[in-house]
Amino acid sequence: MKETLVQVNTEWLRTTYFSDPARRIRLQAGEILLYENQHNERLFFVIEGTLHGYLGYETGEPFEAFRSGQNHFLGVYSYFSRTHKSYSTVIAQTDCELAYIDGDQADTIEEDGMGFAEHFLPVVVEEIYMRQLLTQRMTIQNQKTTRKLFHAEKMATLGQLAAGLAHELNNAVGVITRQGQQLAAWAEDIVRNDDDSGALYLFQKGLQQGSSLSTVDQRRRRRDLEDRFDLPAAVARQAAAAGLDDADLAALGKDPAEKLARFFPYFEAGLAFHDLNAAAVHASQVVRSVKELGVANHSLRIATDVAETIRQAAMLLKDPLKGIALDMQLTPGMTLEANPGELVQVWVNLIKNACEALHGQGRRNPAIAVGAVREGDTARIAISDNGPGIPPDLLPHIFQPDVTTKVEGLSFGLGLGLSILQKIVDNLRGKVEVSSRPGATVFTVKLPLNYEL
Amino acid sequence: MEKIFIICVEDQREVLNAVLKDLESFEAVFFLEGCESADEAEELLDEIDAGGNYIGLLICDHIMPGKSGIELLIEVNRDPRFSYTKKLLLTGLATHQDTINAINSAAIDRYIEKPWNVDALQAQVRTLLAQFIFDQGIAYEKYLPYLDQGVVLERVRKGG
Repeated sequence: MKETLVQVNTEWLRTTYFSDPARRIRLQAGEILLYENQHNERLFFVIEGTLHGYLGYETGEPFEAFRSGQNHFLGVYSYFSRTHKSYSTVIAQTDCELAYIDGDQADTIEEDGMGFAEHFLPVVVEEIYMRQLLTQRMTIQNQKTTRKLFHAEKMATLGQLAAGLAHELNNAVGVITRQGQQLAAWAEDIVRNDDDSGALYLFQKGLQQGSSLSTVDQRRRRRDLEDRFDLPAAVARQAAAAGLDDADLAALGKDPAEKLARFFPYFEAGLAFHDLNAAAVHASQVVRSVKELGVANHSLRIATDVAETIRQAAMLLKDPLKGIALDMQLTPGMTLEANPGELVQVWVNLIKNACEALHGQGRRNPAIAVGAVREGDTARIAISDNGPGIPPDLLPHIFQPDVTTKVEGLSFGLGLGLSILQKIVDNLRGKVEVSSRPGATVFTVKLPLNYEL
Repeated sequence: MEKIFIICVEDQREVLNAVLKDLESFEAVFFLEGCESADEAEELLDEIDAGGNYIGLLICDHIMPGKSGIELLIEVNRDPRFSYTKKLLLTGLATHQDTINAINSAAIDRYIEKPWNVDALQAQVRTLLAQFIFDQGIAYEKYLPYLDQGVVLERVRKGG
């Protein structure tokens, strides 16, 4: 039903003005009653059927301006205005019957002493009201479009920036990685020529294993070595740092202190190459995630099982999930056309975030629930945790690239995680939403299931 | 004879190795320890304190899994046992607001941005250690080569 602002005495107007059988027209569905800007001196009354009015019909991108049906008036604007121009193109959606009046009747005075125009005043007022609604609708539509465009533009700019940055950094990191490896190989050859095999052993230990013991274990081992082997503190420290076990020490012979003092620098050199490489690998991982933010990988889209990608993600996160109760309720058989790797990345991102929110808090009974259900043509995946929640002031901004909720506990990711995730979900025509309060943070991803096996 | 410890807290092992290596020269007279988490550092602080030794300087990474560097420094700052300890924040996240918060809430003495410059890091460490030693009235002669000469001169003149 059409919204009515003023009381229109439709029945009276119809019998009084629209009962002349000579002034009737019939339209078939699809026929055009009026064109935009067409001259019109008729005021129509819809006896039966539905008609839609469009703006810009000729441009090929029509915008629906109104819908009109039984007992509605049409052509109000063009009839009453001086220009007599229709502002929209009116098309019959069904077979229609209309009655009309034209210019001649405008001067008649009825028995009640009121003029024609006065009788139609409520109709005109309603027309004005409808136009106001239309303007509002158009403004809102406009805002939505602008916002979408702005977002797309932002992502495109960021994408270009990221791609450029990734290229430059990859070149730099590539040189560091390769030259580091060359240097390490060269140094290893030199050490190999050393007359004592201990030097090579320690160099390789550093190069291959890095710091194999945690700082806690190193301290423990140090004390152990001081006590059991009666090593001086400095030597014990070196042996612990190099991760030497009892057999290694025995191999150093009668005077391990003297040998260790001589060989430890070789371990440190090996360790330096190891760490150099580890840092370069880390850097290229960061670069890759920046790049993924900008460049969507459309190339590899196959039928992908949603539940399967979630299981894979959980498997990858075995370590951070330690000590957290994970409840997974996954509806099988939901497939869509996607890059499975990207989808796994989405879940990894969300589950890892949840883990970090929980680990930071030392909360009792930390739990994560992952639910995947089908809702019509959509897969709805909800990942919730009982962590402390996202601060309300941060919540509207968490999908922006530079925002991290993990002020504590960011191990890697530059706060890019969620914006990458949104990009992936966007590309799958999906949606991601978040709600959060202390004890319940829920990320909901909705993906259209456009692919059926 | 008292022991003075320099403790570095950094969750990334390679970064920790690099910091420790850059501060290696201080080991001639100080005791240098590395920790990979805030919790580990707190245990070590307790242990050192229980042994009747000093924690002269606590160098701390900013962002770590679990308790952050700032949180650790705030807790240490509140602990009367370590009110004398000098605190240096090593941060890869030196946004203006963040650093202001850190300095205000944790009473951090200095902060250094990553990637750090070795000379600058060593200079800061020498300055903070000199301040610590004179604040505590510890006999400074033995440590002299590892202390900032400007601070030493100023303090000796004042004290004299």
